[in-house]
Amino acid sequence: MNRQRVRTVQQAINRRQFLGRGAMFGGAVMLSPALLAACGSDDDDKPGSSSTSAGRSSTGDLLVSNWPLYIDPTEDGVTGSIDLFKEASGIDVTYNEDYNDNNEFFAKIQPDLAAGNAIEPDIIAPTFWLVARLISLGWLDKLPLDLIPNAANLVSSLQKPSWDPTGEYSLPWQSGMTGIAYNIDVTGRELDSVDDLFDPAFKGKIGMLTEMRDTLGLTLLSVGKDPNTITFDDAADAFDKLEKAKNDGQIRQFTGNDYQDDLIAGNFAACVAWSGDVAQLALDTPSLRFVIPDEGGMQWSDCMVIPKGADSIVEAAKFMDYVYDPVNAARIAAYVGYNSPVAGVQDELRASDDPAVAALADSALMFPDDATLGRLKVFKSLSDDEEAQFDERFSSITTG
Amino acid sequence: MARGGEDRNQRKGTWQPYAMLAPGMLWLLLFFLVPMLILLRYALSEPTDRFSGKYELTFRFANFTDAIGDFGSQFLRSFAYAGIATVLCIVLGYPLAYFIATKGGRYKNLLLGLVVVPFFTSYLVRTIAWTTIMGDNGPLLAISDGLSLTGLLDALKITTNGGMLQTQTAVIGGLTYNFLPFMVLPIYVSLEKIDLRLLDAAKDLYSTPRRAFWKVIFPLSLPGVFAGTLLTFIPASGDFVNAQFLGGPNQQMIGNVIQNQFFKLNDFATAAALSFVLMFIITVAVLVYARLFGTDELSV
Amino acid sequence: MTRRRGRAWQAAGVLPGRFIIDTTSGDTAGGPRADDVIVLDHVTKHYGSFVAVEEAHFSIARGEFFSMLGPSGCGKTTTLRMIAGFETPTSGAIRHEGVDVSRTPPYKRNVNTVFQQYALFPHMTVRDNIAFGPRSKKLDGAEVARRVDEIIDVVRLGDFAQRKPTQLSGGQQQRVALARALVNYPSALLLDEPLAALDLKLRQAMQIELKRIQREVGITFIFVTHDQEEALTLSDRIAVMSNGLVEQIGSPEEIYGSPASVFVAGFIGQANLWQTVVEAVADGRADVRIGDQLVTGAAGPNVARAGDHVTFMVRPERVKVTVLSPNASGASGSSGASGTSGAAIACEVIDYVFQGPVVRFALRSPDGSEIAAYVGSDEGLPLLRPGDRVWASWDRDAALVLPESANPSTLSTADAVGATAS
Repeated sequence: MNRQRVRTVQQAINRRQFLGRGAMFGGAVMLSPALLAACGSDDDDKPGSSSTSAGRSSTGDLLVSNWPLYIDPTEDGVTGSIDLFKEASGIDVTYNEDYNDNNEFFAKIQPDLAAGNAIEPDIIAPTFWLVARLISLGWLDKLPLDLIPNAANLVSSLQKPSWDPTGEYSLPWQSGMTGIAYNIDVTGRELDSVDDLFDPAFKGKIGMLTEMRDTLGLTLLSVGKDPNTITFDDAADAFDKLEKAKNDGQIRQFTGNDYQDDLIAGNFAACVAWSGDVAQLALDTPSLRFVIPDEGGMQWSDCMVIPKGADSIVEAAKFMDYVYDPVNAARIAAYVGYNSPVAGVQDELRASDDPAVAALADSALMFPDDATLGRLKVFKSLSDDEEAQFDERFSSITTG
Repeated sequence: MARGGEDRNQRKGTWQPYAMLAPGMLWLLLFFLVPMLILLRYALSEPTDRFSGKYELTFRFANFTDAIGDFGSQFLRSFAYAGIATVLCIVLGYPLAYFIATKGGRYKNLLLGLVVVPFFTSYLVRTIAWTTIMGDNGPLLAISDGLSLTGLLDALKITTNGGMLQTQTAVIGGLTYNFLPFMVLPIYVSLEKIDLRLLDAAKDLYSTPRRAFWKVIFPLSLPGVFAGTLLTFIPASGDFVNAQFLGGPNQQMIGNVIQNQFFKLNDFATAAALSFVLMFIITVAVLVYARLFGTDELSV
Repeated sequence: MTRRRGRAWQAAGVLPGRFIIDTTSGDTAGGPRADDVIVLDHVTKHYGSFVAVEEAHFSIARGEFFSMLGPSGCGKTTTLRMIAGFETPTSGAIRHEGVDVSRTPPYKRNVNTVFQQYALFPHMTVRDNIAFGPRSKKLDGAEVARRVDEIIDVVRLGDFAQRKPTQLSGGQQQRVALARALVNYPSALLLDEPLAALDLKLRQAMQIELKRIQREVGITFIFVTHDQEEALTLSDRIAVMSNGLVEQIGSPEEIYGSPASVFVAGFIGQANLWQTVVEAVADGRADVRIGDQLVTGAAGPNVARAGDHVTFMVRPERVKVTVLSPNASGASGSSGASGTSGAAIACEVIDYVFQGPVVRFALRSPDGSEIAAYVGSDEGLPLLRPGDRVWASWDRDAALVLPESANPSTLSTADAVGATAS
């Protein structure tokens, strides 16, 4: 009861301060996170101190929108990360698995953010390229990194990434690899090349992703183009190759995350797929395999960002700090099977009492070796105009 | 007295019908006309930049011609699929409605209920259920394989490479399945209204049961077929759910394109123009259809 | 009960028609004859345990206007539908022109029907409606046109040929229905209560019209109605039906003048009826007692011996009303079976209605029963008032002694007319 009342008062004060500042200085609101972040760097050694959180928007609750099946749930008597975080922090978290597709989610939030209104979630997890777009549109708040000491655990390869060159707007949630998943019972042979997806033997049994950067990325690699430096003109071959495969009936369907159903049902012999999914699915369907093809694979990250105007900054920071603790990160990684961006996860897993969990420390899917990592490409950060061209061409193939 | 009553009726007549119309008109104004105008405005606009969501009204009529030029094949495909599905709905639905109306007896309501029962489930769920049924390892193919029919079905282009899901068969089949009740119910209603003594009359006048049906019952049930056709063809040509789940990239319909333009490419101008072209074509088609087969004289 | 009576007749090997004295052709008995257009040979129709028609056994002659008359549910429409072919007899046979058609579908029978609500095809013009039958028969276009033009002339529909049925009045629709059937030159035209939907005036006009058309085309008409007046007006012969049984077949005069049963007597026209017991039978006459008065009348079927329970019937228009006793002696003398005159009963006037040509009396006899009497207004009766004493009398030929009816409720003509069509 008491806590509830205090929280309400606190909330009211913050609102007033927020509105007051906005009214007096106009653009200052947009600048303030940057200023605060700058200040925060001085306070790195005093994590979570109340003085640094003062002046930041806080409501006591938190709304997170993330992709489905992207965190360990509370089930079978095991408490999941969200409930553990609730216990540890006292923050009332609402965790929605309503992020299904980057473009669709963008279409959903675009009207509000374009009009300068806040959207409901305090944390969302767009894929890296969308993070870049959101940053360039000015639709994100900078992260209060001073309140997230564990951000220091971010693996070095993902610090100041291409999509967020200053590293101030995003923290990767999970990274993953895009390769080829196949059902050996259906293919009858091991696959190792992107061109296996274009093998007429699998006509009508091939799935591709509606995520352009994954599907086009692999196709570019198969025609010897580097997705990291591609131009629209250079991509013509790859687009043509995709279009021909589509017209020939080689490609059965372009899907989102639901490619899993078709893979299990045997409708797909092989498909463009994400590493972590296959790791999970293979537990129940041992005939499923995942391979980074010889031509190379794609690498990507889904990143936690704070949409502009979110009012639970302090709580968002606490959540990010929590999941960047290697212990917690290891628990999540063990469930989702992707590549954790948090250093120390591998050691945590190896130290587990549960041999099955400990074995994950040696999983090539979760901890790819340097040779594999060397074959992975990150899709180029496209300019608005380029992206429009790519998107239009790609969608003319998927909705032919 | 009589005079006064007449006057009062006349006075009432001046405003009462309009008062009763008002809620409906207001509804249409707010939720049909206004959105239509907004959509029209988008259709004639150009985006100021790609993601701002701001569109400038430039009366760019090229949006319409572009829409037709770029997506003509999807338009044609949509109308072809919807047309075939509508014909299939008539072929399947008419005998069903006829049976229920003439032979249903005391089971009429039960049978009609069974026709409507699928509606108790979500449209999406019903459609997705077919992915299981028509899947490569699903029961439908298992049966046709078991009967060694798949080769024949392939030759008839009902299956493609021994598969059914993600073919036009699947999309048209899904449309037919989902819209069948919209065909059965109006046909049933129009058959129900027919005086069955007309059938006696036709037989009395030397018509075999077959001729009696085609010369009397069928023409008289045309208003139902007409209504059912509209209720089936119009939503089917704008449908995107069946193509999305049951079709592949070569079976995408105009609804998928519009959805894609709105929600993937954020191109509201093209999407709005496409929507208008679709509406326009359907309206023209319906008018032509009504002119050719209109049976309003019969709706006595 | 009626059914039991019917069986009794059959057991006696006697059909109702046998009792009718034919005054026209010399043979109007119900029994089929080989050259008749339509023959019903012991036709019975059951629906489950319900008996719709039992042992219908009669024939219809070429060119005859034949009516089936009876209250709702009497089996007349079922009989008609069996003749048309819409129903199949449970037992017995139906012959058209000597050919057994009991199992022949309607579209192979050369009879046509005018349906109760006409059943015109609403999506066709009058002309197409009429041409429907000939086209079904695949006659060539010129022949179809010739026939249609001809019949449109007969029914006088020339101005309406291109209209749809809904644009026509009830009477016009009626003519279309007639034309649509007659254009096929059927061997018999079946009419199922064709006038029931019309108002009184139009009905009377159409009755005349029907008769005219029938004379013109010379086709056998089989007419189903519950309206006794209509049947009497139109028919050459009438079959009166009740509860699935044919009670009597005969000319209108026979049916009216010599009803074979109490049901027929009550259903056709008005009748004064007394339930009583036979005192004596002789020479086709029976003496019965009304109150303490002995009266006599022609003995109907099954009135065989003293002690039989019977109904005594006199038509109201046959009852004479006089102020003085009609017997010269003035005595209320008995007039037994051997006597020549009828009865005279001293009555009290209880009601008196002047209706122009006719005066309707309601009289009360000494035994309390009511007697209806219709007297010509030209008979010079003095002005009578309720309470006045008068004599009711009739010629003995005017009275009938009929077998007991177990079903007195069928006795009122008004009830029967008021009933809906079967």
